[in-house]
Amino acid sequence: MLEATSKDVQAPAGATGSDAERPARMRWAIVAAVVSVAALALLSPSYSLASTVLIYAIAVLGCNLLLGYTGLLPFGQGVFFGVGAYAAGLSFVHLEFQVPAGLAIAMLVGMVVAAAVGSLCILQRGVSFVMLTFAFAMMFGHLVYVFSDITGGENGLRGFPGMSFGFFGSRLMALNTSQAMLGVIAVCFVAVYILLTRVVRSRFGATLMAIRENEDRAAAIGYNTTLFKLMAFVLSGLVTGLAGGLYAMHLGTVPDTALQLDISVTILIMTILGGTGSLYGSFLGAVVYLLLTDYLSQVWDRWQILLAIALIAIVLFLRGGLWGAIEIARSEIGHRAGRRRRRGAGQ
Amino acid sequence: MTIESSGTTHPSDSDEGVPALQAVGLAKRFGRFTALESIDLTVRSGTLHAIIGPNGAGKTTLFNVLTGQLAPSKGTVLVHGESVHHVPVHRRLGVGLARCFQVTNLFPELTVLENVRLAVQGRHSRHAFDCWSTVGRNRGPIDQARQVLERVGLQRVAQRKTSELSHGQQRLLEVAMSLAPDPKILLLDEPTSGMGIDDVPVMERLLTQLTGDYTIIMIEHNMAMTMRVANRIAVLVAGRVLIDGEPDEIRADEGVQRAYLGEGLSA
Amino acid sequence: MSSELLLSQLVNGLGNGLIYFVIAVGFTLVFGLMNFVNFAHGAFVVLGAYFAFELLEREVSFWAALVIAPLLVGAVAVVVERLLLRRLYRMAHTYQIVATIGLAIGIQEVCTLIWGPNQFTLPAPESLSTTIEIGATTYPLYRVFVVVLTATLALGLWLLLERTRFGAMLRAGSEDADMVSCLGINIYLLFSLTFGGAAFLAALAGVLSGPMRGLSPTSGDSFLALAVVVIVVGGIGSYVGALVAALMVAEVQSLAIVFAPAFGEVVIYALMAVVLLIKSDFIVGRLARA
Repeated sequence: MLEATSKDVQAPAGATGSDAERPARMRWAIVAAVVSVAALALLSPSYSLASTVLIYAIAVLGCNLLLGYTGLLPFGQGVFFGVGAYAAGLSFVHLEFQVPAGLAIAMLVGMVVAAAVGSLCILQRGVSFVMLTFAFAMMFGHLVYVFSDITGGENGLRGFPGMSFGFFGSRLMALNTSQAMLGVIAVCFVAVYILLTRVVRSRFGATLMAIRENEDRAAAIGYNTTLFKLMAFVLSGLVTGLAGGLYAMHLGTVPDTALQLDISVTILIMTILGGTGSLYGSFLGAVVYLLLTDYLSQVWDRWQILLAIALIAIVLFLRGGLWGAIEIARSEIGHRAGRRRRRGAGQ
Repeated sequence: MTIESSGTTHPSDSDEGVPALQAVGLAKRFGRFTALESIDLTVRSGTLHAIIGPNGAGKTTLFNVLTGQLAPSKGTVLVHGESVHHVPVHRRLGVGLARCFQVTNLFPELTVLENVRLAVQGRHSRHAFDCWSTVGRNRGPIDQARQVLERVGLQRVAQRKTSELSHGQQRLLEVAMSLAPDPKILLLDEPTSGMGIDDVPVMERLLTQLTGDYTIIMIEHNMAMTMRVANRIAVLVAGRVLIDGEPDEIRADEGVQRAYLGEGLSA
Repeated sequence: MSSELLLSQLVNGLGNGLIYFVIAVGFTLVFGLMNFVNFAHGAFVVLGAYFAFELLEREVSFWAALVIAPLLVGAVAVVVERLLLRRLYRMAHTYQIVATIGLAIGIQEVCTLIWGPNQFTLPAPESLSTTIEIGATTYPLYRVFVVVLTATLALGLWLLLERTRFGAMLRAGSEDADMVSCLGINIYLLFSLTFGGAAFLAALAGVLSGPMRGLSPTSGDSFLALAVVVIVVGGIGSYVGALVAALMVAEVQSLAIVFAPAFGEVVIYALMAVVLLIKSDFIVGRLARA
């Protein structure tokens, strides 16, 4: 068999930096998240599109945790997205939950399903793992129609009451404008971004990266790699379930497409497009993909052919995605500045 | 726990009687093929005991049995006088056995320091489930990793990615990884494997320094270096110990010369 | 529930299973030999059916289309392999998957562009559009033909793999491609032929399926999923495994349609999960220790 001669999945390097750097960089992460969200809200053609971008960005963060940091290619993220959406939707429709409770349900269900699916998938490595997640994605897609009296089948889950923000029965605020929705979604995104930033910089995150680099060696030096991978899977399920819940809240319905293979593929594409080298890449991937396709789909019905070309081009020429391009540009600028400095000093 | 360059961490005087590691009547069969046959080996604390022999003699199989990756068909392995028969592979570290591999098996895209820090942390891996506090906050493993790097001479490349190191430096890092969890016994599988002529003296110096503080069992093909650093040498041929003695004895032995067809023993 | 219904469903399962085998065996051969994951494999199935559709529209006979369409798809595959996919062989599987997803999307969209998004079926040839009697039931002759053809194909493939020099090269290459190329065999030619062959088989299965079920540009996903399930159940790279697993999957599906129709599609994934659990170290390890 041909052995891969390059570990090609662009990956964040483990960092054991000095203590002094740490607090500053955490602040940068918060600033980056908030500024990006604000910019998106201002520059996006509509609040609704901005909301969609952030919802998917959350899901892409969940996917990147597995792909960029743990080295797993998860083909079934749409499962957690979809069950999160349906769980939140069902709680809105049948239990008259308000948004926070509905989202909590979505996260919980996402976690549980991830634990169940993950414990089967984690048992396999490499391509077998990918195939398994792919098969589960197909399976759950069919389950929507099997249980159509619960999910509404092809018509989707309907009958949502008005969305409101509040706890234990008391309504604090009605969420009936796109700005209000965007506000809730934006807060969720920033919270998830900060949380995952902490996770990937923790010892847990460092262990995930070790597993990504060399799982056998990680096990040999004492880490229970199966347990770590499962925990990453569950965390990813929680985050992606939240995205699904927000999706349900935002749409006011849960279409049957929410649990189809397409969502899994789309999330994966956004993750790779944005770049697996950092968490910020996940935001970039969602923004560029959704804004571009929003524009292109109005121009050409078969715009997906461009997507196909883009994917192949990325794999051949720019495996680091958009984030990778930024890093290349940064180091180019750094080199040129260095050369200029040296030339200046020589005079 | 700190690693010092004097022999205070692992005093061998008090355990004079009990050897660090003993293999008693070890045998390993794979179906009808006998890889190892009645191996008796005694390794004293603080010594460097080399295992040499032609290819296919069973040296790596012996290592695999010592580290628990393979269960012996017969015989026992004793570490400091206690049998480790029921100790699974990932617990052997706890018993003080650390192994470095013949084929470099590191974490390519992580920094040298991070590689060693992971090896240090791996000793107490349950702390690695901490999802909140940043890596840099836990000075213990980081400081210990830095000390190991200094011991091995790689402190200047601490922030470089492993994939950027030369092969010789990677072999040194392999040794560092096995030193990191502060073991008592080091099993080094061909530490100079693939090394160029400039890198071997560095490894030789390191091995000489480590002997005394650690007990080292080493598989090697580089005869010249082995003769210089080893306290004792066991020669393995076709699964059996042909002779086990001091370097001069080995050099003079006719059986050994025959086994190697007269090649490789001249320095 | 009559025994006739059960019998005819089991025979259906046989036909379906052999078609699943033809689809899966190409996928597993490519993975086994070239360590290459081709997520566009399902798209080749659909492409075969579309090429046949176009040929039939141009008054070509079904029999000719049965051969020409797969050959065309095989040619397309070889071209794509030489121009594009060859560069992916040494990359991590992640990127092979992403690139072939791009290829699959591309094929899907081009098909939609040319033939539209709607479902279609292929007309079965006149001579096969009757039924024959098997025991007490009548059975479509076309399905019998499919069984006979695919069984012959399976046997022929087996002979190719086990009894010819080409097959020996394929099997050796699965074990160690680098070594085989050192023996002077043009490994890249071998790869191209294998990849083209796998696409040929997939397309053939697509043409054969055409009269039996509706196809559309997006059907590729379900064919790919099928291949994945069969291979996971049967073992990656195994010819016999693919055959046994394909038949098992198809029969389980057929039985599910009789006994629990709502779960028809889902049951194959449940089967896969069960098989995985049984095969995995988790269970095997526990049994070994017990």
